[in-house]
Amino acid sequence: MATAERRLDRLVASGPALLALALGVFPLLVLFVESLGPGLGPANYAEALSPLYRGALTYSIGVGVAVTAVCLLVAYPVTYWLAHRCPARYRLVGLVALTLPLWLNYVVLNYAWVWILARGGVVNAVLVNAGVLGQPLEVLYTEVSMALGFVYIYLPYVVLTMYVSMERLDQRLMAAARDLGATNLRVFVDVILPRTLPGAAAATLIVYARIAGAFATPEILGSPGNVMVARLVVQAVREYIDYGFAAALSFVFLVAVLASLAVGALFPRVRRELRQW
Amino acid sequence: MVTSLAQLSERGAGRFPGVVVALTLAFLYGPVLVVGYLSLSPTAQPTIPLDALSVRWYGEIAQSTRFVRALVNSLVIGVAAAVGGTGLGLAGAYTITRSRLSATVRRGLALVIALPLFVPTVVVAFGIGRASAIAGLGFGYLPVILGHLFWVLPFTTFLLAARYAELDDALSAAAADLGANRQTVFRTVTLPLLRPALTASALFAFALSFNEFLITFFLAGSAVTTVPLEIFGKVRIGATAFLNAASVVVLLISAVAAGAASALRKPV
Amino acid sequence: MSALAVEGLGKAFAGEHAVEDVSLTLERGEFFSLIGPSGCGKTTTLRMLAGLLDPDSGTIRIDGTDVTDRPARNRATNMVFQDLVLFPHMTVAENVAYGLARSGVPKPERQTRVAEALDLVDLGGFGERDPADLSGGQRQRVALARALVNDPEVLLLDEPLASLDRALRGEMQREFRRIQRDSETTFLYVTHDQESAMSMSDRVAVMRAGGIVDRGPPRRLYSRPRTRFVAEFLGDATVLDGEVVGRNGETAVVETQAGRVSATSETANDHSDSVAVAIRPEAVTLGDGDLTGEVVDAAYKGFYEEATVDCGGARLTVRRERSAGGSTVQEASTDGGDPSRDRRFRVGKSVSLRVDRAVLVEDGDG
Repeated sequence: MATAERRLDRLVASGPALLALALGVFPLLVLFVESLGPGLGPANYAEALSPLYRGALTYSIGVGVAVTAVCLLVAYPVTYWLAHRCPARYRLVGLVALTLPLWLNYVVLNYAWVWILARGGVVNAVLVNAGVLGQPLEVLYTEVSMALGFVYIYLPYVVLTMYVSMERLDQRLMAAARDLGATNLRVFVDVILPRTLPGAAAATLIVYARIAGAFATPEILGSPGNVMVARLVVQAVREYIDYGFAAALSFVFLVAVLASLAVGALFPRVRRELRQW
Repeated sequence: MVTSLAQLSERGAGRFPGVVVALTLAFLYGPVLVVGYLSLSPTAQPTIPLDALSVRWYGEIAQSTRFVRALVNSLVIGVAAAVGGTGLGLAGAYTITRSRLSATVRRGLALVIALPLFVPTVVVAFGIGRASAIAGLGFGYLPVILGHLFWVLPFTTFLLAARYAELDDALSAAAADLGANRQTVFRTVTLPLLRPALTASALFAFALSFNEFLITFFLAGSAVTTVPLEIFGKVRIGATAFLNAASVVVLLISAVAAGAASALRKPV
Repeated sequence: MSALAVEGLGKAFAGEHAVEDVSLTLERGEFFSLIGPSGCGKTTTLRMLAGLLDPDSGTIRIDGTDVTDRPARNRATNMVFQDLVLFPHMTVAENVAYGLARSGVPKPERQTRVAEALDLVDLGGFGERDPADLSGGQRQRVALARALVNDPEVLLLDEPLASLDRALRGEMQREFRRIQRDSETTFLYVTHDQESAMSMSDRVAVMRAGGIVDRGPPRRLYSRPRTRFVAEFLGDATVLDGEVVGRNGETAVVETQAGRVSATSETANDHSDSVAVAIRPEAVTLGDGDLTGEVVDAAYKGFYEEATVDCGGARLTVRRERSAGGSTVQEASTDGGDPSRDRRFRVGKSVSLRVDRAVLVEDGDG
């Protein structure tokens, strides 16, 4: 009887396991083999690590770090207000409102910013009509518009993750710190920050790799001059049909992303928080 | 009412966080409202402010066979990903939390299921595209649906695993004590108790699939098009009122799924 | 034939014996309790009897049939769980009907039997309610009905009263007893609460460290415990070590730290001269005794007062009742003053004691 049950359990496990192995592990093996071809050499890796492409790699990582930092900076006061200051009956509505964009199409959401920032867009129309600006601002298709687009897409993820951590923060700890004479800044540094750092780390792990590897947002809102890795991979695949190079670039990028994530995961407190996921 | 300094500090960081929340909400919903407003333009190229309001572009959408076909494709793929992804997610959640397989096997499964969360999507998409070509599947519906199943699997699995872990083991023991075998326990106790989570998981999987762009971009080929692909292609050509109306339709469909899911959250 | 016969039951977790060589026999219609401190193996025993846990050794017979290898669903036992575990997605009636549906009872009969079971537990008309809308006591009754409706040969109860407050617990104890009589079902009740076990049970078995150390009617276990552990676990007996200095039939005179005490002997091993003597608080009378001591702690407990008296290093617990009028029933001042002035134990005061009853008990682990 026990063996029959184990056989059933194995059957149940085989469905998701086959899918994850066939579409998760097998493609990585395929890419690895292709990255060594033709001729099983490191030539593709040498090219992927040449200064030309190294710039795109560091730029992608840099964008990932910067945008993640901005998201956290905004999410801290927002989730603090929602978890500790918002009247309880509006809390769920507030959380839903702040995280609803998670459900929406990021291509469409980024497209919406074209209308805000374009030469004839809402911001310029308002500011020029009001006489604040003599000439329309040229912010669309710059790093600024790309960064806005990124924050717009990924802020809800950070808010959701941070909220979980902020909600668990015991209000009495803050009251105790204030009772002992702490200023707002000290309360933040001594109580809020240490208690919510693991949540911030979890949020980082969730959004950072996606920002660094994003394709659509830079295409829609970024400047043609600011090249991120995903565009190079897409170009190599679609325009130059150079799978070997694309695969090598993918692997280098994967290693860079995993390595920077691993640095964060080394801290034991972050590891503890991640164990809950 | 005069607020003393002491009272202010008692209340915490003053008005600052509340102001940030208001700005954040404006930041999140402003662009959406602008696109909704500009979809009502009477001309193909909206000028701000609009001279008049018109719904003609929504009519144009319904007339556009290309857009309608993309919409149907997106819905079909979304439903397949919702049903299949939730079914596989349930199997994954059961294996991770309840199965009698060894702990190593269960942890290993959780790890490979979580892969698309940690591997950059462009690498996942490119890899599946190459693997599909090598396996002889090429491009089209089947690779897209498989890719979407893989993409939604970590979300459905971990959502259901969280609920599965909350289920009281004693409920199954009570059912067994009252004469139920394993299958009956699953049908009469486990499944009904998981039902809200299953619905939420299916809705979220649908939204993820309906909005997915990059994996579809690598797997669809020229024969299949979905709404995100269609919009991305048009955005590069230029912003138009037609595109605005199409965007509103897409946002509304996923907002309905989101609304249904958040309505589910209340009773539990 | 006995309703339940267990022999040599054993279970180990990761090499640790949780239950070792437990044997039990329950007569039909008996209310039997298995008591012991937490971690003594009583719940493990119960889960093995229910079929929710496979024993490593031993046999379980229900009504003469060996069911050791049968899963829970094929046993004529049903269980009332510690946290009740009512199915939250079903109504009260659906909960109660669940077991009947599993054994294929046709729907019309199911409805009648559910109604009868709900009547038995005084919940007639509650069938369509949601379990979450019921009070704690009502949920207890639903759990009881859900198990009893299946006509189990033995009903297993796993500390179902643990979560109730004191008043409700008393009421439910009386209800359990009534329902047990009315349904003529054999009850096996597991608890760490010796008070509720003694007030409900026909017989009690005391478990410790995976084994049964003593069993019998509650009266016998309380008044004539065989081991030091049972004496201390049931009620608050003081156990003193001592030497036998004289015997007179069943009575032995024992020299203890506190002084000389006469004790009755139950067991056969009291031929040795080193023994232990158990003394119940209510078996000690204050005043005109040959033991003297000093009150080191006193506590007001409502209808009685309790004091700890130090007699030559041994600490005896002493109680005296208070009459309704407020004066003590037993006056026991040694300084012979006005009794009405001396209603309370006073810490530091010297008292004399008389031990009316004491029992020789086995020392060690039983």
